[in-house]
Amino acid sequence: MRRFLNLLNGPRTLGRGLQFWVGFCVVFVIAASMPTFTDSFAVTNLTFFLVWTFMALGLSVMWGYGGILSFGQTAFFGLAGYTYGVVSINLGDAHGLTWVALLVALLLPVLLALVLGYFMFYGGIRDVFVGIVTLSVTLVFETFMAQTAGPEWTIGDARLNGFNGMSGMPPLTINGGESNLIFDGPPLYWFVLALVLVCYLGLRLLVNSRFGRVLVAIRGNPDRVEMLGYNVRMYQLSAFAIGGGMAGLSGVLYTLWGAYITPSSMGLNAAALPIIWVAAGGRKDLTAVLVATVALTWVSQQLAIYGNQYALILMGFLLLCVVLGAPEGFVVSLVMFFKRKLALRKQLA
Amino acid sequence: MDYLFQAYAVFYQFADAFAFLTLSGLGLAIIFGMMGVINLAHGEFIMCGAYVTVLSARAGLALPLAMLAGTAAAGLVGYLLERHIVRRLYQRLFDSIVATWSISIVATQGMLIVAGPSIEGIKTPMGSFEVGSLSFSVYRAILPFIALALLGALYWLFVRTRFGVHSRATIQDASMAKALGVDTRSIYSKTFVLGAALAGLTGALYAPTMTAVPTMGTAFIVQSFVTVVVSGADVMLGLAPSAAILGLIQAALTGLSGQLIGQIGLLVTVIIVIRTLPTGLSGFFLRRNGEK
Amino acid sequence: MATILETRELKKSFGGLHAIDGVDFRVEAGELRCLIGPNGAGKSSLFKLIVGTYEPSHGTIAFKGKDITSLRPHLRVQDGISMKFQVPGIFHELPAEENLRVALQRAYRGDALEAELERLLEFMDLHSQRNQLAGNLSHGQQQWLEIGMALGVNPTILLLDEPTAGMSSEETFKTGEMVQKLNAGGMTIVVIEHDMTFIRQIAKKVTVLHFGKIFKEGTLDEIVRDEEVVRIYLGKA
Repeated sequence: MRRFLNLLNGPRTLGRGLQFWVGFCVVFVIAASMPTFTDSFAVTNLTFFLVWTFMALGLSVMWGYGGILSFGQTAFFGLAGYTYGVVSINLGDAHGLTWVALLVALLLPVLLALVLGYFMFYGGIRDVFVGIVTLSVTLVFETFMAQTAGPEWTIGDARLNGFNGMSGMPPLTINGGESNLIFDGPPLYWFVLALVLVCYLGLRLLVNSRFGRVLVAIRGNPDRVEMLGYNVRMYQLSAFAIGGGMAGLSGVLYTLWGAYITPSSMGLNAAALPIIWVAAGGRKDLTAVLVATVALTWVSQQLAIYGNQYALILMGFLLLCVVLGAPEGFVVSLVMFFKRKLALRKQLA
Repeated sequence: MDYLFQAYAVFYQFADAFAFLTLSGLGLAIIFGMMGVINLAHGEFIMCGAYVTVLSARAGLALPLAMLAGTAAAGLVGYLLERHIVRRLYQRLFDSIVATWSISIVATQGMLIVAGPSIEGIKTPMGSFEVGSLSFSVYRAILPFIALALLGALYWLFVRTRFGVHSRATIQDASMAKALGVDTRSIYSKTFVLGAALAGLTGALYAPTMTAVPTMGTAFIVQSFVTVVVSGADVMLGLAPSAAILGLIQAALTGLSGQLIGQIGLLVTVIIVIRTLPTGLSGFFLRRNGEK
Repeated sequence: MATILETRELKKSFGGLHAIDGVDFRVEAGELRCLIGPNGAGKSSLFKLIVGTYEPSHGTIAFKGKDITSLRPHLRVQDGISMKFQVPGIFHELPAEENLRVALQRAYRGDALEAELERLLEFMDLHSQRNQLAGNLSHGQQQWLEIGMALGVNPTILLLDEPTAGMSSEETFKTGEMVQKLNAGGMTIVVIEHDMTFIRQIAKKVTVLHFGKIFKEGTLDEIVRDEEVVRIYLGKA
């Protein structure tokens, strides 16, 4: 039990000890009770913010902890979304088959990540070229899907629909005889929130474990790690698969949330956003990334009322300021700042 | 005779693609090849050049002068960005990628806010000519020659001028160059400005052939990246062959299955090249000649 | 004594440059061997071939009787070869203790790992610095940290590439003592060095490399007195 707690608190994540976890529980309880004291519009919004956290967490593990910068997370996002669409439209929502669609939609991005990762890491592709290859893959997907407008582009009953994207896929449903539980509104919100909890805690455990220690060492000096007897490529492949799987999870949940998926979710701007959230929050820490993603998606939404370009331009400025002024990320820098102040006060007291 | 006309049509498509790829890639190649900085704002320098060209031309300036204005504007912006932002990030590769990407976003969205989704453009000059039953744009037929002339001018610049020699010394071994009295900081700055100006020139040259929109940079960025990666670090050696091969692939695929498939073809090519020829064509050429 | 490491007709070329040009290098178990030679003789290249960073153009390498010529580097380390590089390959962002844990956690677990960690920190005299970021340590301490990491994988043979580069004479002497202690405990060690004082402190058998070939082998006294060896060091070679 003590080992478990140690791993949870661990050396590679911020936020530990009683104070932090009590605060965490409080936040979680508030979040869980949101549907009881806000309207359905707010609940839908909150779900939207949470949907993106998985992609960001996955990118944090891969880039922040593993040193692998992939510009192509949106490829996995889009693949998962379209897969859910195709499978669920074809299978329908009876007999809980939507859950089958969900599983398949989560599986395919992981498989793609394994194949692409193998091609890259076992093929000696490193550093910036990983970024170029992954971006190229994403753009290939986007371009390909964008030209699937004609009626011949159909898989079973599901039309791919080119630029306009696919829509009309059924939400998650649990069939219970007469009354079905449809995952929409509050049930979907709680489902996503539960997933956030599970993924966040699970990744905390992973990152603080022996695996995480090696991963962070690989980030620092991959050749040296190989000389300590580790199969570095396997670790990189694993981190990449985790990143891909998490991006896929975001993709499926996004599709479930909005009942649509379009090629633009795989375009250049879309590919930039997770990088912005992760870099701005502090890529080397899971908690910072979680907080930053929720905060920034909320801010973007507020600004999008005036026009998408204002949201994006703010994101751009923010990223620039972070890179120049607080390269560790603004959430991390803030935490470090307060820690130092506290330590100074303790010293003077 | 008809066969000859068809052959010319194919050649024209190829030359057009070659010109586009070369001109797109030049500015990026200079900056990446010389300084190892990946300038993701490259497309926006092109956009800047195009916008200034269009606005100056519509304000009454003769087209060649308007193009000069566009080039200069991009160079100036490049100078300012290098001095205040890029300069601090030379040793930080990830951060320079992220920073230039954010500059790109700010520039595109900023232009959207300031100038709206599009501005009224300028016409393609010089009219058209006929080959058989097909007509082609004179201007676009000339662009490949301009591209080649630019490559020649750059060759002269890097091989026969003081600046060029200092630049190449700085790329090879910056600390050694510094020790020999080369002002490496000034070289980096001038190189970045040169890259930005070349991008601006590309925008200026293509401005009469496209609609000026804030996101026009994205039409170039993918092509430029692909060309530069396939070319490898030695711009002089690799850029033209890279543009030629890619131009062939793109023209062929576009002709057979349309523009989007042509684009996909380029992307797939770059993935294959990264896997099989990581140092690009120029790296391949250099290795074959026995250099290490 | 059994041969633990053996290369046969080993060659490595880069284009026209023959870094290693036909080397039959043999190390017995439990030896403490010094590898010396003028700059560019190929010493580091030989190490890199043994550990797997370089692939040979020709020839074979055998370790503990097994042919490892086409074995991937990390598998060679798992078999028992460990190397300390010329440039300290430590993890600057991590504390010293974490650096050692990365090395240790493959071969050790739980209490055994903690015990070994303490032992290494003690041996490397890094106990007081255990929580210091590796990048903040002095150059000598970084070298020791890396030796510690190289030891952490529980190797059978230790390859040290210029372990005293950049060290003061006290630090060099201390390193010499460390090396001798390790060898006395049964570890096979091969050291590349330029520092004659250090070599005199530890050397038993010496191999001289020149232009990618083994020039001479013998005890330190024999080598030092050899006219040809003196010539290649001081002469035009």
